[in-house]
Amino acid sequence: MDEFLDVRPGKWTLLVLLRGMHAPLLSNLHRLAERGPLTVLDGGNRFNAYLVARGARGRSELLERITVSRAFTCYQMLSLLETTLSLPAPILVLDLLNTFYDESVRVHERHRLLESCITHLDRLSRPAGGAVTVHPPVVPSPAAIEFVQMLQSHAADTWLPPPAPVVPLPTRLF
Amino acid sequence: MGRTLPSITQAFLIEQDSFGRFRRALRRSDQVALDDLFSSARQHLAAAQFAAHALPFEVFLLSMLLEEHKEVMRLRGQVDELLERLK
Repeated sequence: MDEFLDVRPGKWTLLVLLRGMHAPLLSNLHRLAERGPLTVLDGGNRFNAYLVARGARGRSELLERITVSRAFTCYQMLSLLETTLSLPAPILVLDLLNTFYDESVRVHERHRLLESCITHLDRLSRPAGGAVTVHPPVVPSPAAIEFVQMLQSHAADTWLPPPAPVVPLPTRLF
Repeated sequence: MGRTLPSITQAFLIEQDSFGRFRRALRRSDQVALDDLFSSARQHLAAAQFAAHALPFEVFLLSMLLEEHKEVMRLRGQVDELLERLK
């Protein structure tokens, strides 16, 4: 989990997390807060404050350094990124693409919004770095896959989940 | 917009589940005692929700202690009453 939190100024890392992988990330979030203020933008309602508080062992001085903002649509996500000031604090965007997988918004519109989001991610990660988490699309539509690829192409590093171990098939008797 | 945090009941159930393996390793009599402790904490979920503590398990532990202390106070009262009668 340490590599997840290795944020460096001027770059942001893309973390492709599977179901249940946000919990260990949140439990270790206090490590970033130990260094200074931390901005968290949540696009998928992933920020469980209880997990963060438990990781920080309830130390309020650490918890008070974490600022959380939530977005529930892709428009809100862009608005959040636009209005967030570029401070010397690392930025963590949780489940950025969750709202972009919403097919009730037209594809070209989501595409345009994501491009703007990426521009702002670059701006916000300049002073202290950042990380962006996404989950793979449940329905792997071409648009959804393209969104992940767009992020991958702009991220300084990408962390992908290890492939599931191949279970050897039992030898057929007949 | 949905919940931004699990409700206190969900948090309680998650905490209780996390002790599932511990509970399974206990003797049957101890399991009953543990279940009693959790059910006494469950009685104070509304207060725990209102407390909005960052570590809900601390509130659950205090709720268990509260119920235990109530029991101690009740028993102490009974002992005092019996001692009065014996005088």
